[in-house]
Amino acid sequence: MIKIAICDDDPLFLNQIERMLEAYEKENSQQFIIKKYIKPIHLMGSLKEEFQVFFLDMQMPGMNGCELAEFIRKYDKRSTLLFVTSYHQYIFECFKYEAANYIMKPITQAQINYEMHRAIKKINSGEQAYLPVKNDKGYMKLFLSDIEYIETTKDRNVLFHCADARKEIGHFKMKNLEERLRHSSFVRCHNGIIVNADYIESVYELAIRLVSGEIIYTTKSRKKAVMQKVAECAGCV
Amino acid sequence: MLKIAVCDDDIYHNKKVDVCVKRYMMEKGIEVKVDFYSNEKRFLEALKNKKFDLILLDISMPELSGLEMAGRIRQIDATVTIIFCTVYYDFNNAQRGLGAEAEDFLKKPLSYKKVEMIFQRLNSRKMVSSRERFAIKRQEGIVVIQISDIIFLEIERKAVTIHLRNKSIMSYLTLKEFEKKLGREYFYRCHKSYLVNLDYVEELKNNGIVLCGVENRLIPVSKGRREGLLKRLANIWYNELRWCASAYLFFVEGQVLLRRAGQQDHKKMLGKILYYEL
Repeated sequence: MIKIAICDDDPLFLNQIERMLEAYEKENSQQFIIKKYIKPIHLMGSLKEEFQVFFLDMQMPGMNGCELAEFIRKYDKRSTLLFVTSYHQYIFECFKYEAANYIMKPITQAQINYEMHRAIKKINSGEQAYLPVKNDKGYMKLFLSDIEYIETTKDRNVLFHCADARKEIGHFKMKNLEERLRHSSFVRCHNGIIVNADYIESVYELAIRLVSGEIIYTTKSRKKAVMQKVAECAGCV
Repeated sequence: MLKIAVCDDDIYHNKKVDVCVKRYMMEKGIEVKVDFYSNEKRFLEALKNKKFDLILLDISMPELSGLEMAGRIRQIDATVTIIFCTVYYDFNNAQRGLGAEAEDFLKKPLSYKKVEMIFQRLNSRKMVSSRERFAIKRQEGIVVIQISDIIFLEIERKAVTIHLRNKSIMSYLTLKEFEKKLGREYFYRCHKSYLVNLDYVEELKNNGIVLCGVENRLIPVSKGRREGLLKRLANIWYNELRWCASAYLFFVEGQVLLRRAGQQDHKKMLGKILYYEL
């Protein structure tokens, strides 16, 4: 099931894209949930629905597509963004927001098919695995491959340390997280820490050095599991 | 080590990339290797035996357009990062770039800041990519090594020493096991007790190999393996026009068997080769 958001101030285009998506859905036996937004502000308010594909118009009242894309990217770094527009000049913004493509109006069925095909391939590739996190900043998707490690805080929340030195608070129980992340590259190295084995550079006695240079600790009883995970993820000689 | 290919026939652009790379290496202490190709067919040929982390591609090449090139590159290597560079910074070219899943679209001349940002992103991605790493178990724990950072491995008092750019690690595994793991792709067993990363080979002399980053030391080559090594190096260097011409040049001199054009000869060489090609 794939969740798609379309945002355009012209209902005609909204319905057109929706029709085309439905046609694609039927043809390729996919399941889509399509939400239509006439005002960008409404889309901004419902990011918690965890959309995976966005179709954004460029010229909308009150906000343009770039601003909207910037807002979306703050909460969701990797989902597929597609600009649908009749203006040429914004194309270079695509690279800034890592948009998948820039579609000129009028949009055709062939284009929709191509873009959806690419988007579905990306979703199925596994790099899109994420953890939905809610904190006082709002709802966001933390992609597993961006998380360095997770630690508990004093007030019974968890703190996610992300690759770009970003830190996010989330309300989770360590036990549940451990269970959920078991099948990816995560391992619980300490009572209060779950680490992503892909980010480990070395383990020396009870100290784990991360690629970023940070040092975290493990315990005697958990060290074996950590080493096993590292060997499994990186491949051992 | 980051491996970069530049496919462009613009000398000034290539020079600029070279300058940026040198500055980046100086400032960040990260090894970057750039290969320049001025002919797209030759580049595609070379791509079959080599793997790069980044390809800087000109959009308006004489024989194949950037888009066609990107399509062919994607057929050979589906995951490599492609970045387009062009003087024609317009809508059509940008749309083509997006179609080929290019990561960015740069305007010539390049700015160092932009290049630095791209390299930095690339490097941090490479550091955690499981395909580029492998783990070595030790007594006190485990160490994860970047495969492309290994310069050479040698047997020293029955233990294998892995020489990296700024440190060395001992391991009690046999060299044969390493040879198996590291594949025959980039590593070559040039001696019973030496396994070298061909990416770091600078020069092949009569009495040994000069490696980049290893000073005052020659890696011995045994007689039986010399022929094979020459073949491998020629194979890798042949497609790179620059390397090829310079290799011939030094070959004539007799004493040196094969040599890669150094950074300082690059400008001179590139001019000569382009002329030669015309």
